[in-house]
Amino acid sequence: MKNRRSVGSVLSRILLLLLLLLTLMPFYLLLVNSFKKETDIIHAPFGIPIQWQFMNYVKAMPQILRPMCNSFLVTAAIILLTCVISLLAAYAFSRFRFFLKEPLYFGVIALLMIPGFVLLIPQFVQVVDLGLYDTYWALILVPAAYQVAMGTFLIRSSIEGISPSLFEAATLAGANDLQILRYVVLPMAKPILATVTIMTGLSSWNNYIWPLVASSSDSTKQISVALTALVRDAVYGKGVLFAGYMCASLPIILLFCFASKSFIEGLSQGAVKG
Amino acid sequence: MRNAVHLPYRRRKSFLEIIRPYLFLIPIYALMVTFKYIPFFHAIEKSFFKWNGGNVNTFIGLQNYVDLFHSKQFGISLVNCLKFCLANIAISLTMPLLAAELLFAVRSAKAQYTIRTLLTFPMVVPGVVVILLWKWILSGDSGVLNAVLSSVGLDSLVTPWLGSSKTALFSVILVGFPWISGLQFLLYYGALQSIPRELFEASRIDGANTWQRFFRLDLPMLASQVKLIVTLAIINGVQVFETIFILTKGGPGTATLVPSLILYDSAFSFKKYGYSAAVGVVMFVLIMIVTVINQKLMKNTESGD
Repeated sequence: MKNRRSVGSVLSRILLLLLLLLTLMPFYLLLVNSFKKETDIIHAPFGIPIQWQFMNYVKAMPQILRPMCNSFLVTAAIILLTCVISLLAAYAFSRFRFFLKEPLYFGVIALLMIPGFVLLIPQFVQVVDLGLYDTYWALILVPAAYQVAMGTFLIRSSIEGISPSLFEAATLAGANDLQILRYVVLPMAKPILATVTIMTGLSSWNNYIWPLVASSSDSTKQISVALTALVRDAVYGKGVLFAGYMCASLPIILLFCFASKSFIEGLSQGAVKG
Repeated sequence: MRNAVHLPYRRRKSFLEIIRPYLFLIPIYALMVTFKYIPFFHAIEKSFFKWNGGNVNTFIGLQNYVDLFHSKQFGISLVNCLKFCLANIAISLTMPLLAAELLFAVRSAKAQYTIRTLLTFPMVVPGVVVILLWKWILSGDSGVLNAVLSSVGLDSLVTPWLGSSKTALFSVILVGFPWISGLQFLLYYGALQSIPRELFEASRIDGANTWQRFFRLDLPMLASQVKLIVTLAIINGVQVFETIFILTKGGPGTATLVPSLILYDSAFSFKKYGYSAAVGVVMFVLIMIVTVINQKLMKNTESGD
């Protein structure tokens, strides 16, 4: 085993590092160029900034502060709504036996099979018909309608892992459903709720198409849409755009640094959607 | 059903008890019916109408579909879509798998963990930021790619990558190079980790080299991941929108035109909602057909799942 550090294994190590380097390169470029002057961006995109240009961030702020606040609000609301609604539905499907239970469950899960893009126009029309166009309601409710299917699926399997005797004990102690949810289910479902929160939060913060279609005014504009409309500064140039991209990415990157393990779990779970 | 937890048996259920489960399902169904089911059936219905979203609203049967399949643009978009799907499949079956295997071969658990975290990092950067970064990298005048090419003496390759109809499609596919950060990588890597150690041990004792081990052990164990990844690659290929919308808007000319762009434009630029709905239905049917075929085909090649 000891002298198995053959040429092959050294080469494969180098290849892996090269791939890693190439993967991270665009983000390195984003970071350093967000502090550079226009001339440096053009002539030395790969170098460390010679003069640190913090004005880029100052100039970007007014363009993205409002959209970021809007996105925070919408993302938080989608997460909350998705967790509560999925938890209620998952509780019903895992705790009770009732007429049409499996067809109703299929009705929830079948949504995962409808590709999102196909519904774009009819959802837009529906939102306009309901008078919700360009409101927070439209930005919150429609993405939440996507997320609850996956949420219910994940939380149901988690609740079914809870020992039935726990429920019996709670029922005998006179707990009603809401109390059982609060004191029995919620503590046990915390890890899966963290996963659902991460999946939902990530896709809401990064969502581009739906906000593009469903909102138009500055008071509802979401961060992804605002980023594509950022204008370069006449004096400071492209660096202002990069500063804007940095600010928009930072909240989730920070979360990722603190909870990378749950992130990776959440991201892997999201894959099973298809 | 299997694990359903029953209430203590009672002779007669009260009315409240009978309707209780349904009460828990009211919120989810209210949300889904309003924003998914009604729009879904509405889309199918409206694909048979000439509809501008307002006063013009007449039933025209299959005319939208006839127009669609006679449209040269739609034909081109389908061909481009096919190219995207094929590129997607080729990419997601090679690069992420290569990265997963290389990482799996690293012996130190700590190094594995660090590299995996670093490789996952781009997934949490907003997709729009990634696309906009690549727009800059690929741009003609001040693009990083062109700067790199001319600095290593390959001036002949310098070109407006997104602006020329010869390179536009290739450039759009290039976004995200080397394409290893993503769900595919996490899926492959997770699957490799779950292969029982004894099997690797056995293959080593049998004297299998790395290639033999890869083809006889790893690949068969990854069959269900491969199936999922191919399905995802096709679904994502058919639905590709953001990258093209931000980078090229389908151009130059029709070089990067795809169905999702026609769907978007015919609704929001030309107010042809009925036609747009028909594009949506065709995309839906395409995805369904491909998914079913893929599931069937892959089932036959699997030794048992």
